[in-house]
Amino acid sequence: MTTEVDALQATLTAEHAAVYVYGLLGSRTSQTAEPELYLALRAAYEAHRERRDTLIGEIAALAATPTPAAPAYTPPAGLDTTDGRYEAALALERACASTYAALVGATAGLRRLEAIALLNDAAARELSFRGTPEIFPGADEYADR
Amino acid sequence: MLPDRPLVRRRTALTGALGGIAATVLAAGCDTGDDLGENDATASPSSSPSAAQEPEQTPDEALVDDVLARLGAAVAVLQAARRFKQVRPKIAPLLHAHRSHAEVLEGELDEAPAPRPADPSAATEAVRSSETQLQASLVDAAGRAESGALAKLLASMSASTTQHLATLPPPPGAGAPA
Repeated sequence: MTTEVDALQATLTAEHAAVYVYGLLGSRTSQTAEPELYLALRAAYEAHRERRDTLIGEIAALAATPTPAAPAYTPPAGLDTTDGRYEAALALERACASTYAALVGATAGLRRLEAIALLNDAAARELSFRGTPEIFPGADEYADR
Repeated sequence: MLPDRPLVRRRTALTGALGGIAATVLAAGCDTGDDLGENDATASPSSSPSAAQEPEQTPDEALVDDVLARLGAAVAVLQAARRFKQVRPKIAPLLHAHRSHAEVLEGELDEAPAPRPADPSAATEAVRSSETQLQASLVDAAGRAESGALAKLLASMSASTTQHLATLPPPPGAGAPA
């Protein structure tokens, strides 16, 4: 059974990866030639970095050792084109939504409400990366309905 | 434990979502019934065997019923808005989503007629207002669910509603950002 700390650690792992990938995507995006994507990536980077830092504090407060960032990450494919960067960002945010949904299921009380807010934020952010509304964001087990 | 397949029946679904809690409740109910059966010779005639075996509604089942009622009300507003041809394309995905949500919850939608909007703009605003309320109620329900799996499902439904709300046409007077 997944404990609350396990779920928080899994979310932190996802945030470490998100901060890395969004940073990479931002570094490949022109602020002047692709302002819409640039702004969306910057907002996402800042949001995930803040969440990462918050999670580190929350996990430490539970007397656990926060999972560190991986030494290296595999960059997503398709970074050389605007479409590829949009796709990579959308895939990343969808992955984060799944992580937040799992966190909802593994928590209760205020922490669950925070996880629900994160899931809703990720679902909304998907739209800024050309995502379209889904029927069950973050819960792929129901997606074939 | 999280469900990894579509839910079959409401009771089955919630039993799965509750991760065994429902089974424990049912077992406790059987024990209580045995005790009463041996010692209570003045049992009420209304305590039929079938009624005694009927498990009481759990808090999560009551929660699902409440969510279904709210979904039904939202779908009624969407149906009323569909009368305007130009609104249909924007709300068709919402209707599909809510019906899929109800299907997973294994419930019937009570689509009591909603007031007919005066024009397409009013219809869109009625949908926006209704969906905003629904989204908030789904967040609330997800927060209150005893089952983690049910909480996840309801939270996902709230996120779906958030996405659909964001794609509705902007309200009158909401121009492009400066």
